[in-house]
Amino acid sequence: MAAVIFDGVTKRYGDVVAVDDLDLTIDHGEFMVLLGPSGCGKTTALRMIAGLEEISDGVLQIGDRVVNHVDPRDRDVAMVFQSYALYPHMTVSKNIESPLITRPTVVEGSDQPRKLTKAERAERIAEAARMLDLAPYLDRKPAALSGGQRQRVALARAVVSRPAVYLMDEPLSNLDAKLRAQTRAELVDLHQRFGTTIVYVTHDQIEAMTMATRIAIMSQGKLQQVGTPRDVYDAPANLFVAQFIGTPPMNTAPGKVSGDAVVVGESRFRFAGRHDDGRDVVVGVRPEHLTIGGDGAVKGVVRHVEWLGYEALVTCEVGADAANRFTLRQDASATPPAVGDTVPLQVAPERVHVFDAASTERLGG
Amino acid sequence: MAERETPARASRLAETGMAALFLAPSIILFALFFFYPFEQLVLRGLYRNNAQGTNLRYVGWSQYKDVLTGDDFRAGLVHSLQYVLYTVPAGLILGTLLAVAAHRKLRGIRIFQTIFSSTVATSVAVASVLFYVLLNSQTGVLKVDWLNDPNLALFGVSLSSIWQNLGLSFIIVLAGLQTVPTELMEAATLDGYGPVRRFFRITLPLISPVLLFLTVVLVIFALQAFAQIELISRGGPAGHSETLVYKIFQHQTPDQLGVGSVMAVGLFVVTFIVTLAQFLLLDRRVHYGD
Ligand SMILES: Nc1ncnc2c1ncn2[C@@H]1O[C@H](COP(=O)(O)OP(=O)(O)OP(=O)(O)O)[C@@H](O)[C@H]1O
Ligand SMILES: [Mg+2]
Repeated sequence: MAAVIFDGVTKRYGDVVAVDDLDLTIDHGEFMVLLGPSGCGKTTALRMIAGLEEISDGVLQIGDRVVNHVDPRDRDVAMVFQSYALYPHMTVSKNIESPLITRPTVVEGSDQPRKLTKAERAERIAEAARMLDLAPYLDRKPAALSGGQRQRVALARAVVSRPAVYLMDEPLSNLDAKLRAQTRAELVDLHQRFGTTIVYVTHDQIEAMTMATRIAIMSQGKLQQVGTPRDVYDAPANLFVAQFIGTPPMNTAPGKVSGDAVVVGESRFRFAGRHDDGRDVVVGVRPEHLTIGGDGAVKGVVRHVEWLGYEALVTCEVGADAANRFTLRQDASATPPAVGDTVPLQVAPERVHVFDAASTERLGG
Repeated sequence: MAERETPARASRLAETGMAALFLAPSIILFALFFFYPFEQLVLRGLYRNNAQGTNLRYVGWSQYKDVLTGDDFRAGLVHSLQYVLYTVPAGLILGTLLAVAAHRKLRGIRIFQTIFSSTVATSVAVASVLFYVLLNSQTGVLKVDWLNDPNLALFGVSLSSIWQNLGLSFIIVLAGLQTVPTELMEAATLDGYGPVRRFFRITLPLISPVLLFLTVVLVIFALQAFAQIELISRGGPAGHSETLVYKIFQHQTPDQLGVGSVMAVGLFVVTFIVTLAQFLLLDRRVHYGD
């Protein structure tokens, strides 16, 4: 059974279309990450699931219920806000208890949700506190907590009621890099332990790649691709996805199909499938799939070399066009080429991505 | 070795000097316009004089005792506290209701925000005349005879204060509401709070500092109310709406200055204690964000 289904869902603010005809099925127990650049409509999509935003068009389902007009509190969802939205005048313990007070909650051994007793609530708070290491802070007010602790309180408040769906809006963005990495692991752990559905919004592709079971990539309100991290990395559906996922981003250059290769200036990128001769395309190669060497079908003029300690990034100009800059990753121990040298480049044909120049869609084949 | 100023000590001295320098203007102003007149007032309470204001006679602290325990002072104090009771809770509740109503993001709400705030820009005289007309027993719109009723005269007057304070209460509470993050309200909604619970559990605690401030201001306004009383009821009927301030005003005749001064000092002490008590009692319940 699907946990959340967007069926042609659109959200308009006046003339602004924040989410445009979104079709997306989020399966039960899935860790779905909505990924995309700022302003692409991720938060809006999430808030529509929560019921905090009216739906302009289309049908939204949670479980097997259409929820377009269901009250937020009756949707059985919990949300972690980017700002955490903790109640500053309540202790940590009261904050965590908050969703249990009025909302009917599912209890083990019975499938009728009901209100919890005081003792049951205390037990739930203790359990959530234990799980998130908050026991020592239960009597503090949020102001007396660090950012990481606040974030854990927000998570604890979400998990106590064991909702059908967790909604998270960039919950890690206020943490420092180290804490972020640690919390990422905790979230994955949490997801595995409870097996609940998580819809997670971020613009950070590392977060998306490391945590998601599937990623939904959005741009300008439109869904671009849905798939496992591997799918979207290995077979990006269009140029936007290709360039959005991966650091450094995928190298691309416009060219023409000729036989079994895309011709860019003097260089020929051989591909694995079949494409129509003479077609205008964009060729794409990830930096880690490009190496120096080979038969010289592709040639590049070295423009600069960045040595990062664990590797070096070598940027070359391909096809005698300054706009076609291809970056490749080189082992840190290898001797980097000198700037200005012309070097042969090679890439395995099955690693060459071909996109239609007009539609920017991936050309299979 | 000879004793010498260490750099640390020198800088501490310099700091003290700077502090004194910064404080000087306010200290001078306070001394000139508060401490000195207040001292004069207290001293004035030790004297009595004849109808011409001459023949100043020292009577000492006994005058304080006589006046402050006298019936006149007590009646004034009771009326003043009644006035507080009539105006402050009503002002807080009405101001909050209007602010909550106007805080919703509804079309055309700005018009109402402007209308609600407008009483701030009305002078006491205008408000008083307005209510004098409303409450007039013959020609009044309300067709009531409160101003001649010993039990209702003060209440009638207080309506003008309530009305006039509404703009200020509204503005202050609205400003408070606007500091409450929308996300908190949304979190509460998802936690299952209905609008009423949301208001009492989230909004009210979060705007409590603003409400405390407003309470203190309204209490002081109530204790100081004068023009309304003078213009609407003239303290009547038979002194039933004479508040402390009104009585002090009545004692501004040359032969009564001493007694008036004692009452003024009394009012100051009452105001001071009430305000302090508000802070001490309410401050513990007030949540000041983080
Ligand atoms: N209340 C609103 N009124 C008008 N436009 C809005 C409103 N809320 C969002 N938008 C617009 O809708 C679009 C999507 O906004 P949304 O907040 O969903 O973006 P986002 O993907 O979450 O971005 P970010 O990563 O910056 O949080 C944006 O163009 C935004 O300007
Ligand atoms: Mg957002």
